[in-house]
Amino acid sequence: MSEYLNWTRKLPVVVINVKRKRQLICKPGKSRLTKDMFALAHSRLKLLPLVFGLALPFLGQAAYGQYDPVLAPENERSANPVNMVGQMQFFSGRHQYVGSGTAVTQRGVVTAAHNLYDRRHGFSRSVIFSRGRNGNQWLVRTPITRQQILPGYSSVTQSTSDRAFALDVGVIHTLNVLASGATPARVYADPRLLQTTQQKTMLGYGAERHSGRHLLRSTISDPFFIYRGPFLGNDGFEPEAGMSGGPVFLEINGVLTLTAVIVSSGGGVRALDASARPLLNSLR
Amino acid sequence: MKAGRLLLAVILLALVATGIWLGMNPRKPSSAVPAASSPTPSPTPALAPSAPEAPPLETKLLEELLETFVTTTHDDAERARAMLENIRREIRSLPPEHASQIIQNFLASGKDATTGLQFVPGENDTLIEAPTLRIFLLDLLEKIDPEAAARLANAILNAPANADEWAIALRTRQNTQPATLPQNLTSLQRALQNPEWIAKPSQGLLHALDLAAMAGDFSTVMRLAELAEPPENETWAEGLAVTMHRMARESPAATLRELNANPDFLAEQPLARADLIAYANLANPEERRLVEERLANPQISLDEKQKILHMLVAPGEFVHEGLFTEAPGMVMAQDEEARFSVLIATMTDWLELFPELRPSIREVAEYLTLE
Repeated sequence: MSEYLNWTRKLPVVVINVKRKRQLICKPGKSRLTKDMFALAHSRLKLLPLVFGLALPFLGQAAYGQYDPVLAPENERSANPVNMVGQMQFFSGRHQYVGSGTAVTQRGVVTAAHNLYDRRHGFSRSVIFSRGRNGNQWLVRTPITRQQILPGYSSVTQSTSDRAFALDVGVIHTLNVLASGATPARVYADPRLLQTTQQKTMLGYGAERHSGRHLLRSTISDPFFIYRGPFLGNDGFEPEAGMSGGPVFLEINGVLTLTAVIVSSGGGVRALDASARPLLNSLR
Repeated sequence: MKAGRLLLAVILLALVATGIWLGMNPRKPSSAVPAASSPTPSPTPALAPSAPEAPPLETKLLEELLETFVTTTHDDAERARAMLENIRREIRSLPPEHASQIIQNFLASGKDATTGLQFVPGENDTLIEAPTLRIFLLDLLEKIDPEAAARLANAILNAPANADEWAIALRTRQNTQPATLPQNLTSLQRALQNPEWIAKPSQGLLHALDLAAMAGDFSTVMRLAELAEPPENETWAEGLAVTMHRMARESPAATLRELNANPDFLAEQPLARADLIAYANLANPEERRLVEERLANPQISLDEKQKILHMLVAPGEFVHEGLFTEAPGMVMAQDEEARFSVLIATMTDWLELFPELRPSIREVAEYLTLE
C-alpha cells in the first residue's frame, strides 16, 4: 500500500485525484450539479449556470476550512508574478475540462501532466490558456502549439497513485506571446523549501465551490511532507478541482517564485525538482 | 677548448631535441595497476616499463570509498548521491587505466550495494541515477575505458542475470559496437520473453525498450502490445505508449507505414493512437502521403481522424533522455513558424480532398485564430 493512500485515510473526507473530481464536475448526466457545471464549461446553457454560479459560494462557505482557497484580492491578482497564472481549458476524449497553469517563459506554461494526458484518450486537444483570467476577461488568451510531459506518467480513470503524482508535471508551448513587456514567473527547483515553515501561496481557478472564472488563493506556512520523490503533501491545504496545475509560490530573495504545481486534492503538489528540467529546458 | 664547447653545444642540442620529442609524444598511462594494489588478481598484463607510477594513495582511497559504499545502508537518497559523486570524482582524478582496473576488479569481486536510487538515463549516455553500485560503475566504465566496458557488456549479455545490468550492457554494446544492433534487438526480444523479468519489469528493462524506438523495430512493439493486453498491465501499457511515441518521433514514416498496415493495432485506444500520427512532417511528401492514406481509410473512425487533425496543430510528446535516444531540444520559433505554414497550406488542400473532415478542419482553423 502506498504512503499516499495511507495518508489519505487520515483525512475526514474521501480524497480523490483532482482530475477525477474534475471529471465528476464536468461530465454530464451524473447529477443536477454536475450537469450544470458541465453546461457552464460548454457555455451551452445560459441561465442555470448563472443561478448555480451565484449560489455555489454560499453553499460551500459553511464547510470551508482555515486554508481553503478564497478569491485572490484584486491588488494581488494584478501583481507580478500572480498575473502570470492562467486558466487552461481543454478536451480529453469528448469532454471539456478546466485546469490551471503558470507562464514561465514568453511562450511556455508549466502545469500538471494530468491536464494534458491520460492513457485512454492520449494527449488533450483544443487546449486554450487564458493568462490572468478574471471573470470573462483575460490578459492573454492563446491556443497552444505543443504539449509535453514526463514519460511514465499515466492517469487512468480509476487509478491514482503516488507514482503517478510524482510524475505529474507538464508544459505547454503557446502560439501567442504570453507576457509581452512583462517578466514571466521565475522557477526555482528545490523541493526542500516546501518542507520549511516559510509561507507558501497556492493559486488556481477552482471550479468546485467557486465558479472557475476567478483566481483563488490559499496560503499556508506548515511544512509539506514528502510522499514519493517530488510528490509532497500537506493535509491542511484542500485545493478545489480546477486548481490542478496551478502554482505553489514561495518568496525567494524577495520574489515570489514557482516551486511546485498543484496535482491532487489533500494538498498534493509536485515539486519542480531536477527531474522536471528537461521539460523546462524545452521552453522558449 | 673549442672542441669542448662544440661537445657542450651538441649535448645541449640533443637535450633540447629530446625534450621537444617527449613533449610531442606524451607517454600514455599504464593499461593496468600493479598487482599489489589490486584486491583480486588482475587479468591484464603487467605494467609497461614506460608507464607512470601508480598513485597508491589515490588508488587506496578509491578502493576504500567503494568498500565504504558497500558496507553502508543507503536509506538516504541525498547521502547516497553524494557518496557516488565522491566515487565518480575520485575515479575521474585517476589515470583512466588505473581507474578502469579498479572498477573491473570490483565488478569481478561480485560485491554490490543498492543505492536507493532509480535507473535514470541522462544526457551524454550517462545515468543520472543508478539503482546499484555495480550499474553505476558499469555506466562509468563505458566512458573511461570503452574497450573494457565492451568486453564486460558482451559477457553480461551472454549470460544475463540482472535486468538493469543487462540494460546498461545493452547500451554499452550498442554504443561501442553499433554493428551489433541486430544482436541487441534479439537480446531485447529475448528479455521480453523472460517470465521473471516481464512479471516484474525493472526500470532498466523498460528503458531498454528505447532500443526498439531507435531502431524502428515494430516487432518489439507488437510484443509489448501483447504484454499490455487485458487484464491490463499498467507498467507495460506505459512502456508501450512511451516506446510508440519515441519511435514515431525517431522514424515517423516507418511508424506510419506500420500503423497503416495494421489498422487493428491499438484499436481499443483510437484517440491515443491518433497522437502518433502528429509526428509526421507534412513538408515531407512521403509522410504527408501516409497521413492522407490514414485520413482516407474508412476503417479509421471520424473521432480518430478529428483527433489527428487537432494533434497536428499541438502534438504531445514524452520528454526524457532515453537510454538510446536523446530528449527533444528547445522548440525553436522558426521551426514552429515553418511547421504552421505547411500545416495551414496542407489543411487548405484537405478541405477539398476530405469533404467529410471539413467541419473538423474549420474547427482547427477557428482554434488557431482564437481571440
